[in-house]
Amino acid sequence: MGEGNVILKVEGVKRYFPVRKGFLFPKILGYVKAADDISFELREGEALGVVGESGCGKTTLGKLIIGLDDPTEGRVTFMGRQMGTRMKREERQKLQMVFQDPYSSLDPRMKVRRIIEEPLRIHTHLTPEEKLRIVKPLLELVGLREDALEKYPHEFSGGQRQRIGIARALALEPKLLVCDEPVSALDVSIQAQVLNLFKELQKKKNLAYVFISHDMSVIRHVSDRIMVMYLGQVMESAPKRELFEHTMHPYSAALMDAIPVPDPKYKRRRKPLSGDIPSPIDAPRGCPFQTRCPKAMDCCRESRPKLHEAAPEHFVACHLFDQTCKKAVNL
Amino acid sequence: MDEILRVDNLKVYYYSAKRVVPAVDGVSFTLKKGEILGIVGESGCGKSTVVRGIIGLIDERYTRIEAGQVLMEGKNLADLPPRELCRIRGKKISMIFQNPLSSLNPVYTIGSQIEEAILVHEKPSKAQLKERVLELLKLVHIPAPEMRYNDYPHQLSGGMQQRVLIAIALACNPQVIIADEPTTALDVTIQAQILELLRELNEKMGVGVIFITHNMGVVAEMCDEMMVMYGGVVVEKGKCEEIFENPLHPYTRGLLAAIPSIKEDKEELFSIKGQVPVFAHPVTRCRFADRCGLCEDRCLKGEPPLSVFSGREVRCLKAGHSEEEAHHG
Repeated sequence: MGEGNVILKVEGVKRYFPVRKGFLFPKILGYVKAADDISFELREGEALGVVGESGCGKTTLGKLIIGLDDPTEGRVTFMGRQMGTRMKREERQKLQMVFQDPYSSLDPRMKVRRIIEEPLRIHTHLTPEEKLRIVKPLLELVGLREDALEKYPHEFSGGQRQRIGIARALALEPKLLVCDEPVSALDVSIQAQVLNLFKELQKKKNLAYVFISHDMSVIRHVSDRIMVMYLGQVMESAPKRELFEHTMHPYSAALMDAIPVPDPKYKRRRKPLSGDIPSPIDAPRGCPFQTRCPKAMDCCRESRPKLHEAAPEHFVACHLFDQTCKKAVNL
Repeated sequence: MDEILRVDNLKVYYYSAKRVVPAVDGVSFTLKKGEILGIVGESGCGKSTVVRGIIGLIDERYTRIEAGQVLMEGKNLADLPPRELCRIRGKKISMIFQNPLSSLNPVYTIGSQIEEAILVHEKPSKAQLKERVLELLKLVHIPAPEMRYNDYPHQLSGGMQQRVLIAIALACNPQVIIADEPTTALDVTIQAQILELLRELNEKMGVGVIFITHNMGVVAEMCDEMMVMYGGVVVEKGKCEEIFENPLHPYTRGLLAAIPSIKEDKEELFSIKGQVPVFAHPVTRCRFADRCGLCEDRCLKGEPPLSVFSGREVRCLKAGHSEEEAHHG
């Protein structure tokens, strides 16, 4: 921590999607708060893991970061430039994305060479030979053979396609990769290969990652810092070791505990969380997690806990660790 | 008699214009009453085809049960005409599928879909029927069953839909439930709930469960016995605890080492090199040879048999002989 420059700054970002009803004169019924007041900073070469269940807004956050969507409020700055849908092409170069589904993210009618060259074609004016000089080492870097160049995506398996997608993202030498569930479509043995590749690239190229996943164990493997999200809000954010050793938020604890451990002798500490994730349209007032929280108190129903630093570098949004609320309970 | 289902040397082959793919090539196992048997493997290893072969849910235009028997109560299910099989499916053996929303009919209420499962096999009176359905909904812990009875599938969350599917599977008190990746489409906290429910039902009702999954963690949590499949054959079979403690087949070992851990930090994950291959019939070598770190000449000469070693069945020539060596592989 503390080394390297801050390259990505997310300040108080909110993204609300209106829910409309009616055809001619639509009425706005409410808002889905897909991202609700999210702030963080990312340094060069640092990997941030964003973890949460479906509907928690992790993909929306990813879209906001790469500028595929504009925030309702707040701003995202990458290397000093504000991100958004109206930014210029050349400003996007150093920030690339790796997608979840390696089958739909590669054009089936392009050869691998064209796929990997595409970012270069868009952003630079290199000759074909110069492009090839960039593409060839990239292939080697992601662990594909050179004869892959003249093949089509359908000739590859899921893991190899994901490697092609990674090579394409690396073509412009980005500083930051946003990876949205990059391994959830892959088998265990292939997933391990791709995860190792991500770690290796981080070291070799000093890449920063925003790594989005629903799988806590995958997140633990690749990230330096972890952010736990629930219903569009950050519940807890801390360096990896700190988060696992001193888990504070009841939701993070439940999320870790729900993961099946490959050891038959392992005994679960807690009972699984009851209930479902509430619909994000009518999210409860107060703490979003109150409906499922085993430790919910009165104050959780009334006011939304603020994200505050409960320990050095360890941020948590929970009344259990909020001094003012604790006093209120004691009184 | 404890044994409720016995599968003997089952072979299911897929036929295409170019080749014959032995998706399941000689799988045998028995299921005891109240037991949970896990079948693990990566995509394409034949784990789903095994159970589809058992209950005859195969497309006969390109699939054939090549050999083998599926014995239940003295009858061989593989030989039964489709009509008789229909009387067993849903009644004696039922199935839970992976994607709950696509397994439920969107235009019928969940109550009527559970009723349908009962009416195929029995003829209870209207009042009895409704009572049975409410009982089933209660059994799978759906809150306020009377209100949910008239709901359509889209009104329920994924976890609740999966509970309805489980209720349908339980409708006729089957002896065997086949669960094909029942939690893969669900979030982790919901997955934990469904696993808990399945285990509870298994203890309460004593049904045998065949549990198919690709997730080693889920197997460890759910199953007593497990078998690991690769390329259409069983590579290792035995008690769950023993296999996790000391996997004998290099593939099992690789699979376990490849999982990122939630409990500790690993610098680098072990990865099995190469890809999952597709085989063409006949196979005359060890199926794992191309990806195996311990491969020798003799592995390429013939397919190793499934041999018993310390109470476990392993399909590897090197199992047991060189355990120290194997640990480094």
